[in-house]
Amino acid sequence: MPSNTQSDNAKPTGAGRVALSWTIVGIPLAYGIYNIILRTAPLFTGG
Amino acid sequence: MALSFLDREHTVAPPGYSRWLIPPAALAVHLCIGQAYATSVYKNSLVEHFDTSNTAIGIIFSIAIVMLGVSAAVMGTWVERVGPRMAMFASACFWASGFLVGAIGIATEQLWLVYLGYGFIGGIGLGIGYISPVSTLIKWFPDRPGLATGMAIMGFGGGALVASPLSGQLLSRYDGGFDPTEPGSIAAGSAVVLLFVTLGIGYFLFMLLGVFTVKVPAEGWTPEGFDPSTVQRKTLVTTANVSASNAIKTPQFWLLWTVLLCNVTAGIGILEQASPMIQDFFRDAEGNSAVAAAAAGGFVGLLSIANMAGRFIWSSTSDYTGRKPIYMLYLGVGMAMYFCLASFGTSSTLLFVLLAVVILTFYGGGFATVPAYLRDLFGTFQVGAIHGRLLTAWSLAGIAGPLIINGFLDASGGEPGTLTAGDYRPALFTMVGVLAVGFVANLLIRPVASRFHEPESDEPARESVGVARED
Repeated sequence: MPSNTQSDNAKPTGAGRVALSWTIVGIPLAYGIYNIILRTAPLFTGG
Repeated sequence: MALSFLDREHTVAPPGYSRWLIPPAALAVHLCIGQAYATSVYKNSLVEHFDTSNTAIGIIFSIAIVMLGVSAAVMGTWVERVGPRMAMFASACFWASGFLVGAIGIATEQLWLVYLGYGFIGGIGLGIGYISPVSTLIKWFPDRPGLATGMAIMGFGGGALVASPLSGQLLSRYDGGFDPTEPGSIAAGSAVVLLFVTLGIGYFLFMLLGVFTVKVPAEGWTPEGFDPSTVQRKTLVTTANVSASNAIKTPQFWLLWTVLLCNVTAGIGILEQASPMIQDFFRDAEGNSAVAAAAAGGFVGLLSIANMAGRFIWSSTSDYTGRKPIYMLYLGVGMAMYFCLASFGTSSTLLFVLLAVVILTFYGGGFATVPAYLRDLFGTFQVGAIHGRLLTAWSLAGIAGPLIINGFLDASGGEPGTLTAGDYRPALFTMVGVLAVGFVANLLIRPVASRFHEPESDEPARESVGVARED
């Protein structure tokens, strides 16, 4: 079976598109982590 | 046909398509369906709105989780046949419809419609969505399957982290009298209706990002510089393929099913009781806890982070250590952690928190590593469908974990708010035993016998025949 590797690339996906996709899913994830860190704070401050 | 772009043959990646677009596509789905673990935000509102019990409202979530397991098991081969794009689209339709039907149920005060909508219809979306990217990720990342599935399944844990504060903020916008930071504050039913409509539409649109981005690799594609022989030399990693219908006839499937059942049961045991448990462990003779309610809430948040981080960190690590050794870590060290929690957990809050955090990272890691373990044992042929069948262990663990903890706490005769560490010890030692069963099951896993392997010739024909026969 012939191996079709990325070195065969005719039109490689742009780094910008990859970065945009990760940003779109990263923003809500960062929002969630930020909020949970705020919620975690009383555990360390004894609040 | 208008929807033909969803077909598997229209989703084959062109040369040069970056495989790093696939994890965000998977995350787009898992971040949405992870909302299933953030229902506590509006639970009290529904209890008041329907003037019913906590149990009656809790059934909504139970139906959804049972449907997750059932639909993942039943629809697994369909997901393999139609490909990830169609499966993600179907998941988005079911998940969004579930919210909208649920909203109608709340608006018209018909609880059965919420059971049907969020529970039944939404639960089907959960099951299809959970397994939809797994097989595709493993094919795009043959060199790092643990990393790939870890990223996606981390999203399911992250979904609750996103949905919980987002739902609180939306509810306070729709009901001016609701304050999500006030424990006793309850949003109006009409605000929950608007929340469900907003989440239904929002999640559908967000999941479409995954639908339009996901692609399957072309036949024979391998990542640049990848040498399959380096993976195949590892113990337990097969080059053969086993169909989903044959996989469930092997002892390896049921041993791994037992491993997942035990690992999840033990983790749920802590998750279920996290907030009252830390307060009860540090309760003095007068019945006062050294841990304030806000700090206990922070402990729950810390466990959520541990659960999510464990999915990514341990699953990625398994690519280097191998799957069997990492489950020995989850289960073996997990036993030691549970034993220490039961025996020395009261000695310091820091020690208690550290032990619980490690246990929860193992819980998350167990979920995220299992698709790669299945790939090692059964090949890539129908790994998504096999994963779907394995998730029935999750459904059972969702019942067994809380039953064990609550059963022992009830038997102690103590009332909530008066329990102490001693009341938890029998349950925690039982969890050590549960993990021991899983540890032995993992030790017994050997390579799958060749009689279960698919014939090696004419692979494309074999795939279609195998799937048709299954359905």
